[in-house]
Amino acid sequence: MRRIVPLLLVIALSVLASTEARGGENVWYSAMVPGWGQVRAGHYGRGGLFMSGELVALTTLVIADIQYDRAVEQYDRAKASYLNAAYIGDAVYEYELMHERWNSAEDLNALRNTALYAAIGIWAVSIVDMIIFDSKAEPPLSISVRRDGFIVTGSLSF
Amino acid sequence: MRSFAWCALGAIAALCISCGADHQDLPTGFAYDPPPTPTNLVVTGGEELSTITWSYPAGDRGSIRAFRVYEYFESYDMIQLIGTTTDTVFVDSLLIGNLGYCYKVSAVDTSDFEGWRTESVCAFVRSAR
Repeated sequence: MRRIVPLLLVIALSVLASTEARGGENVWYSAMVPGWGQVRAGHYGRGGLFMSGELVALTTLVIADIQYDRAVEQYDRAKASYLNAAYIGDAVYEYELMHERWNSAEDLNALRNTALYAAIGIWAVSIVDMIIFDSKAEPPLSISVRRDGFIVTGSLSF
Repeated sequence: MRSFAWCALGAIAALCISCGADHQDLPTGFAYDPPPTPTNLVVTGGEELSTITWSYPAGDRGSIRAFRVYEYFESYDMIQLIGTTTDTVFVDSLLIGNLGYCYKVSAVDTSDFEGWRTESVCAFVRSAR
């Protein structure tokens, strides 16, 4: 999984470099906040999807990172207690606790990495999406005037 | 706008670098080899004292440096170290009579590591006449 991150970054970098030449403004907005370029282009549904996906991934990443740091501290404490045990009962208890904390740190590390890759993936897909589909959508609201009044039409694009 | 986007890219790159695993590898295997538990623990209640005796575990006299004697408080499931001896007998004196006293014993090896404690054994202590 760790090999994917530099690959995604390289893809995103080359994509950004190629857009710089083409000058697609919305791509830069998507590079800054995933989904923002889509919203500017009128694709509110898709933009909202990217934004909320990124928000969920980053929130999970922050929470998992804090919990991981705590789990590592607890593991280090349990390990120190195990290595300094002077009674077999304490050593057995701390040994089991140390394993438990290590497993917990492993799980949280996996969750943290998954959230990180998801955040980078959403960010990269948002940029690529903006490059491929950077066309100005129909405005969400249109007004057509008639002889006896006017009609307001709302549209939603994905 | 473009500089902000480059900053976002830099932030993500920094995030990737900072997300390394901090927990080290687990120590492999259980590192301790405790001294064996003393056997044949017997407690005899006397007049305001109790005599506690036990035996060396079979065939393992060499690794044991001393024995620790604990008083065990059954009601609270707590123990208190009352003495250390190299002998296999210990006398707990100046006790209050008409009460039951419980004891546990453990062996300590040459590196000062303590093995499993025995099950508790109790005796009734009489008052002095």
